[in-house]
Amino acid sequence: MAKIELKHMYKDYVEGVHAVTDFDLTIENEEFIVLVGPSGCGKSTTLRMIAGLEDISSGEIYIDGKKQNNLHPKDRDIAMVFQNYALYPHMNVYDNMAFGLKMRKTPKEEIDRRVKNAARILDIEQLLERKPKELSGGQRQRVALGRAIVREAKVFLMDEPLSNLDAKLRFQTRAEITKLHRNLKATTIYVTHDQTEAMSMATRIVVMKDGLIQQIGTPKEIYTKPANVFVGKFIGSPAMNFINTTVKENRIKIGEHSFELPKTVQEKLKSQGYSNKDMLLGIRPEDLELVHEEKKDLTISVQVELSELMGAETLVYFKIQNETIISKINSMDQFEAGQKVQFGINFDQIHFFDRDTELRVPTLDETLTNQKTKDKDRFTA
Amino acid sequence: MENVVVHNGVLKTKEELEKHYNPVKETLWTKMNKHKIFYIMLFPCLAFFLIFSYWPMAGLILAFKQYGFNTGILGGDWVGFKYFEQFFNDPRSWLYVKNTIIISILKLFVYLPFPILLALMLNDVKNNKLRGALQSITYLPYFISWVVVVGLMNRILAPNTGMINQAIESFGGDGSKFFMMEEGLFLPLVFISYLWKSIGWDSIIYFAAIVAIVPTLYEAAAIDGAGKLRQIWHVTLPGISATIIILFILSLGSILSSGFDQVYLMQNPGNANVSETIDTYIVRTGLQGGQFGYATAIGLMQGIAGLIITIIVNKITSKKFGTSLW
Repeated sequence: MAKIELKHMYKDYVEGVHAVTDFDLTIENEEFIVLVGPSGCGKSTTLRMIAGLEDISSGEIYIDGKKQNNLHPKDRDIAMVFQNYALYPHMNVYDNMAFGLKMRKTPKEEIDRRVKNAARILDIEQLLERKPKELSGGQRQRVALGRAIVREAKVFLMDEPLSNLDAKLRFQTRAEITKLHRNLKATTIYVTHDQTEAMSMATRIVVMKDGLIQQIGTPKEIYTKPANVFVGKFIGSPAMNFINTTVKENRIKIGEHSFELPKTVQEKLKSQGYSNKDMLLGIRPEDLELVHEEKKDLTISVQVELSELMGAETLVYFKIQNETIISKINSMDQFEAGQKVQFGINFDQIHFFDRDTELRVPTLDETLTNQKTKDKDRFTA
Repeated sequence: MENVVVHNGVLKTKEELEKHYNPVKETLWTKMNKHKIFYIMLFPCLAFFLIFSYWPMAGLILAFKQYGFNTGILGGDWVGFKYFEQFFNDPRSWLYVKNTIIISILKLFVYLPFPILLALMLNDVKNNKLRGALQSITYLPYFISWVVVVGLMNRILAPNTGMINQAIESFGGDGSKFFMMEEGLFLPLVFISYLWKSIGWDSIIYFAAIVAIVPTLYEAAAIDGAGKLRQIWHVTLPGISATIIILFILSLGSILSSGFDQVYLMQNPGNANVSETIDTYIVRTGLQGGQFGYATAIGLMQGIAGLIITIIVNKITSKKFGTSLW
């Protein structure tokens, strides 16, 4: 219900030291944006600046074209869900949900209608008289969501709302929030450190590190075309495997094995000046396929260090060039430590990264903007 | 099927599940031995209360006995409720009770919001150094004895030479008024000096309670549309209500004892009608008049009244606010 423009936002806690640097993003109406990154990357700070809970050191925030910088949180049309729920302990569920509306002098009948409607949506009608301490974690989470829903605000902000829930509840509530967003159509900004949440909920993901945006894209773009090594490592579970390699005469070396690259990859690397160069090779665990026969130039032979049964899948750990590599295979087979196995590499899905800049070199079937290559040239010139 | 449950993949009855249940029995001694470190820690506390609180209570027997210097505490004759009757039949007693209750009301009810307000103000001072300095300044008077405080008051309010009178005189007024002797000024002076001396100290506990409130509650309230005052009303005060109630109940126990040293030191012939309280009366009759039995009886009544009031208020707050001492 609102378009949010975040223009070159910075946050300094100590003058000149940026906790968030040049955060620049336009969020379209009804989008579900997820800010994801490790602890201390500035994602919560960014959210709090949008909420008005933190001052902006530099930059501008617009909601539907209206500048928000100097507006008090109460005057920005936002609702927020906090990690620890922040329910008023002395109020019952009904009053917790009604509080924001009471503060805005909404008529009693309207408050009652909205609270009961939200309670019905969240299935907490039977809890309205209870105090927060009488509720379980999941129920508290629903009340916190309800408090945001009744406000019918233009923008929903959520700061790691699921991180205090157990795995099963997290999974369940995740789907419910997605459904809620679909029904309410409020522009939502969601902060999490959990890449699974980001992948499953977002229309677009913003990956952050050290206060800097690393990449903005749809979950699919982020997963299939990570902008750099950090994004490749952060998104995906288990993380992308990285191996040092050298591109030489259209071949790459992995351990003691040498492989010929597909023609398309060869051409793309060449066109960007990456022939005869040291590079970082990124392989997703699912792109390492277990094969039963060793084939020269097509498979890689390794010794299993460990295998973990994950249900229908198994994670196999082994070493290549002293780096731990993980393969995710669709089988329930178990492997002994030291057992010799062969893996085929899905060369159509491998990623190449510049070893100096750690930026990905586009080699897959994609529209080349070459922006990153240009950036690289700028720094290496 | 009601009495059947799944246990390790097999259906079992409750009786079958109870078959191997053999609870470990612990004697009181083994339990105590298990937690002996806590009992050792408890011992000095118990000893303190026994020696300094419970043993002296034996002296309360004096309230029912004729005390004589030659007979001692235990040797005198029993006099029943003679001293209690004496107190209730003395028309001045009610004046002392009234004076005591008025001063107590000042110190318990009228004073109550002030340390809370100070704590709220301190909480909003964001500069740590400034806040530390303000806290130190406001709580230092607590360490000055009443003798010094009343001495200061006597100097400041003295006729002709006192600061206030000199100020009045410099503005052309009559600078010879003896404020400390004024009956009408006794209660305001008691209140102001008590406020000055105690506010900083009492605000520490409230401040600690405020600091313990989860900061996101304020943020949630701000987003919900509450301004600063409404945040105080809807977040801070409910957040420290349990502390306020507990401190209030604790102080109610001494409602019939309005603070001896301050009142005794501020007492003078000019304000005797409003300044004679039960505490000062006990000292006058007991220590100065030698009526130890009578003074003990009044002290006992004071204690019992305090205990009854505390129990009643504790019960009320427990029902009404869900907070109580026990």
